[in-house]
Amino acid sequence: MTCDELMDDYGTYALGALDGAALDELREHLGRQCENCTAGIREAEGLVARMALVVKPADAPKRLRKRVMALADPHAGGSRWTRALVFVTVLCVFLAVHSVFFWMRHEAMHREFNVFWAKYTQQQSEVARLNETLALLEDPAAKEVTFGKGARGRVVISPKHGVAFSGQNLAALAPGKTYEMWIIPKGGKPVPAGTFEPSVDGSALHVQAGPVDVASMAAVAVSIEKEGGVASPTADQIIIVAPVGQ
Amino acid sequence: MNLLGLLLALELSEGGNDSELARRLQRREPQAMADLYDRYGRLAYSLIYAVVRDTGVAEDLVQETFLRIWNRVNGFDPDRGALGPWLLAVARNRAIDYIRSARARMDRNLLDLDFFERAEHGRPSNFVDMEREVLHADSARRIQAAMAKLNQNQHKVIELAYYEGLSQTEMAERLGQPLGTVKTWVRTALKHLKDELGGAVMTA
Repeated sequence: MTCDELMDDYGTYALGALDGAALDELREHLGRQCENCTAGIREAEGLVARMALVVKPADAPKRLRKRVMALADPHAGGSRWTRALVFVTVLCVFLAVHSVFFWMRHEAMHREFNVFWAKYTQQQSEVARLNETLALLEDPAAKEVTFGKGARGRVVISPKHGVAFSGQNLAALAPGKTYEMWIIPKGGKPVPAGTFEPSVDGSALHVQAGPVDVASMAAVAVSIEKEGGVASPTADQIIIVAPVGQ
Repeated sequence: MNLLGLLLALELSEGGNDSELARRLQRREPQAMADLYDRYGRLAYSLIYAVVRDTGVAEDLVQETFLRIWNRVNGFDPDRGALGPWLLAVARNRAIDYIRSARARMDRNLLDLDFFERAEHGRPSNFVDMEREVLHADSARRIQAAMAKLNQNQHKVIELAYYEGLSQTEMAERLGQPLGTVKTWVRTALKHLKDELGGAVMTA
């Protein structure tokens, strides 16, 4: 067939409706780069392209744009695995942040607990010490000795609970110094009975807990010693001597 | 006149330079794909949906259409080609292929299932030296006016071919008319449309 005979079929071909022998003939022309038929087909393709303009418009879903964009940039929308990886990563970061947060909170609470426990323990000790002091002072078997001149006060000796020293007008101590109580047995060396510091008004209450043998005691003394106390009293620093006697 | 169709065409006419868009596609710029979709996505979807009548299938076929453009754009001549008509031809081919395959599943006697795939339709080279303004608003008005002037038989065969992908022989069977009669209806309908559009679809 000649090009002139085929030209009436260009449009039908572009429309996709051509079949049979005419289609074979036209393909043969196009296959050998027939200029007339190639140009005619292009013209007909333009006509068919225009037919899209009479199609009733329909609104494409918005997700379709993302799907199309993902064709050119697979990372734009994120594949299922990418989204899963992002999810797992976010989850891990979330858990890590929460772990750090709860660990820090745990540490802070632990520190607060330690401070509280230290205060509680200290208060318990204070209560125990006060109870001991109270028991000592209220012991019917206790012996009381007063002392006076300058620093004055009293010493209460309980055979069961120990020795309590209560003083007033005690001189303020020089830096690095402390008051130290001594229990002086009859015919024996003074035994250290603890150190203490007076309050700002010069008063002090010092208790040396534990059973004592009142009968063997000659006196209770207080000296000023270096901080931390010493094993034997410094003779010229003994400021109070309360003879226990019989 | 289909006002929505006119609006679509107006969108296309404001779309900018197809040649530059084609070059950006060839440079594999992802944003170019977005711009291509913004320019022709709605029209491609409308065309495919008009053929397949299923929103889910239409979405899949639009995606296939743009993938095909993306994969074959390097064979497209940005200086001479008409990007929009090419894309719409690919879109229609995908839609017609789909309904012919679906029809074949019901009618095992139907042969030539992948007619559009084997045929030359949709090649980028078919869309070179084409009038660049093929899809302008004025084109929309003129093609709609021309279609409205077709008689009932001419209109029917154009619809059967365009929306259902029927060949002349299949149309003759469907309509119960002699093949020669159907061929005449198709040719006269296309000639009428060409004449109404002024026959100027080539830049030469």
